[in-house]
Amino acid sequence: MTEAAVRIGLTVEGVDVRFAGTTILGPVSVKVEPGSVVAVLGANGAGKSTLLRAVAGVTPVSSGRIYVGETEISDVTPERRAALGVGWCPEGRRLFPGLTVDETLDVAAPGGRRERAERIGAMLELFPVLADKRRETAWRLSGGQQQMLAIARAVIAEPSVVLLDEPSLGLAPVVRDQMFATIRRLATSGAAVLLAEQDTPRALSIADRVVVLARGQLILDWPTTMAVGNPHFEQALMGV
Amino acid sequence: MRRLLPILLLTAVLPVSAGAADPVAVSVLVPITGFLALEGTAQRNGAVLALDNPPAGVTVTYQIADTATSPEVAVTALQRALEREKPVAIAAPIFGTQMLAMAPIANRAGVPLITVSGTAKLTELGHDVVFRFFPTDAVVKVAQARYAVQELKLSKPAILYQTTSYGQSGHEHLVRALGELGVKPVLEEAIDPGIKDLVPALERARAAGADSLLLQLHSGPTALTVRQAHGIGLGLPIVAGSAMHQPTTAALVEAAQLKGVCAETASSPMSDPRPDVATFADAYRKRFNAEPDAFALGQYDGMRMVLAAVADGARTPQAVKAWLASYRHDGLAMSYVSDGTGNMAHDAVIVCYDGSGRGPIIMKRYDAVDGVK
Amino acid sequence: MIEAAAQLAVNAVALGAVYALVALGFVLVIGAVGAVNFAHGELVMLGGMVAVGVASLLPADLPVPGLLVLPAVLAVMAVAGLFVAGVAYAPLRRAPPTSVFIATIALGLIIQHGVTAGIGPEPRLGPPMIDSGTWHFAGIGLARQQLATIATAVALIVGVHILLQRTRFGRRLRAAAQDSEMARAIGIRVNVTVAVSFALAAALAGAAGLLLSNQYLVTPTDGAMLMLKAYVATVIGGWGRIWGAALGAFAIAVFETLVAAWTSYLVAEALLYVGVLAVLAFRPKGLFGEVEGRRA
Repeated sequence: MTEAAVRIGLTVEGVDVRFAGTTILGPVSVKVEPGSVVAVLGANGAGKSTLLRAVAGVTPVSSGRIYVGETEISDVTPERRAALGVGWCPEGRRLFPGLTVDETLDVAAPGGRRERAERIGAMLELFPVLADKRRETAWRLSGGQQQMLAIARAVIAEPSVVLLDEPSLGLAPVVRDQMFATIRRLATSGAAVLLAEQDTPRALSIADRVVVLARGQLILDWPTTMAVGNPHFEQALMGV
Repeated sequence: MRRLLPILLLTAVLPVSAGAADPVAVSVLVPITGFLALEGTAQRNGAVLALDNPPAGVTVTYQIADTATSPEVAVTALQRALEREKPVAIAAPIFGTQMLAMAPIANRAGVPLITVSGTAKLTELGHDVVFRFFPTDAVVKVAQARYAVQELKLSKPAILYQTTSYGQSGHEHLVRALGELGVKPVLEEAIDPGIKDLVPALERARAAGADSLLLQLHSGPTALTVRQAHGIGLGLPIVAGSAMHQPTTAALVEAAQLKGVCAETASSPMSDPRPDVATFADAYRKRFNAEPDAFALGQYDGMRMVLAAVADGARTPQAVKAWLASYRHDGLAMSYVSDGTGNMAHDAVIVCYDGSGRGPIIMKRYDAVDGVK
Repeated sequence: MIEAAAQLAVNAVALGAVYALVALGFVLVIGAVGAVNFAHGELVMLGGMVAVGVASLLPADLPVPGLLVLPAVLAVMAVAGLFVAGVAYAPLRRAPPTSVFIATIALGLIIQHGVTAGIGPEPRLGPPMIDSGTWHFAGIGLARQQLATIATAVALIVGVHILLQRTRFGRRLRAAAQDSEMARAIGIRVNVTVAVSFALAAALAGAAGLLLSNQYLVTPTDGAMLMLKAYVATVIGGWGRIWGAALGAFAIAVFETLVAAWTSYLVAEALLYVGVLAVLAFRPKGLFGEVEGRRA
């Protein structure tokens, strides 16, 4: 991430997602400052993935607004959001099964051939485990490598907003530590990171703010320092 | 009311004179779509040319319906026509399988079916409603066999025949006719109408030591056989079924590839020198922008005979049927008379291509082949 | 004897190459949208008819008429593919895959009857790629048309392979075919890749139609049989697998030509379908397995 980049954050205002007539999320408002990590916690089915999908544009919202910096993206297609600086790493990674590491990064990278090659190089520096796996197809990588690739794919275009949906799922503890460190580095470079997670301790260790969802509702939105050790926070996590 | 009654009774008893203005209805039910669309369209064109020029004193109305490819569609078209149009005669599909389904229904209604289908079985089922204006396999296959054996001196033919009832019927008659001439085929191969690659069959014919090919195939497969035989340099004379005489079939084959190819047929209107046939051919070309073939001419002759019956006073289906069964009619292709079961045509011709063009030359006429004069 | 065998072999390879072209286009659409295009066979027939039409506009004695006609066929059929995408796919994007294949069945019938009504039911002769002559090699005569057919089909297949594997657009097309939602989220315009897939598939179908039209004639009713062969080839190779479908296509051609020459048409067809059933019994997902989430 370039130092001189304009600092752009994510604003979610009163967003409401409906499915088959029922509200499954919302209304939810959350703000992610550039250069910070906001962790979204909550039980399965609480609406974490739905929130990230709504920001990515792959799940339509019924009301509310979403902004990347000053630009409203509420009605913008997912492809256009990617161009406007939204990077989404979905739950379960969803790598393209038939593409190699190189190909995966290439299709997600913008620009001409030289620029794409440079960006791929930058990703391989950020995720050194992928460096000697360039020609491997995605399904041959280990869980940790796949996750790194999925994140790399989401950030190769240097998005201002990075959406990570349960990246630690299925990874061994040592690998998790490496990955969370990398996620923190993304924020340090200036991105606004929205991180949905089940691994609460590690999420808290890198997050600046924490948001708790339960049954589609936003229960709590606090700075991490305030949340850690707070009994209300513990209760909220239980899904009271 | 009292005074009217005797008059009403009188008019009911006296025959109402069928004024020249009273039209009769005819239905044309032929395959205009599907794999027999070519032949069906020729039938339609021939019928229409006849029906649009009825003899003096006859007015006729007609409806055309498509029987497509299945017996079910043909039967539905027939039932609808019988109900709505009450025709005195029906121009019926060339497709044997459809005719077999339609005949019992037409029989119950007593309406004659005028067709150019060669499937022998049609007149062997005991119905008396089918009138065939194209020589049956009993005529054309005999002509085909005789020409091959007696004129071309061939003794080891390979037979390629279609799996449809047209093909199977032809195959049977061909084998029988050859047998009577003391010849046994070296290969007999059934070909599905959908097969486009005839080379396997041709190679098998070559391997069996054939000195000729006798075909009983539809138009497309006939053209494919001639082309592909030429392509592998087979070099055998071919005596084909009626499909080969059709100008549309010849158009698919290059003139050079047609050298050594002959065909049996009822007539060759596009190359027949007789003046009245030439007039028909010109009228056909002008109206339909296509060359007429024997199916068109046969259907034309058949409908003309129906109109002759009507002109002679036959105004009900039964009357037309009786007339067709009893009288001789001099058509353009030949003279038609029933053999008692509805086969009206008993002459055939063999036409051959000399490689210089696509117009076939009439090489030999075979008259009264089945003994009916 | 050797000549007969060589000719049969060349026939088999030529037919296999063309069937592979047909199957390739068919699978491209399955991959791109997860639904079957039942009008694909009619697109092959339409390509043949376009070839006949364009050839009739050329002066009579031009050399390599088929090769000259090929670009026009590819272009016209690509547009036809866009039309199919617009009519039978785009409006039904959110409907289940069965809606698309019913819409494409209807479209196929419309094309077939449209051609029959418009230009007539009779078979037509397409232009030879080079000419109808024979090439002599080591004492064996091989039809130039068959050799040219093989070369053309192979060139097109290789071209598609290069497009898909070695260009960025091809990679993006593959990504969109594998997971369209994810592809959109990384900036790929999936409606463009879908449209291009349809256009490409139709162009390949049209080229196959041109290649078939000289040796086998083209009749408006040809579509159904070709569609069935494409479908069977895809089932044999593994649903959604491009190279599997090509292999399946070759297998079908070998049965139709070589096996039919040694036994008979009926036996060859029966053996082919016994083979298909055997493949499905022992490897239900086809020889190379299915591409996930694409069964239709």
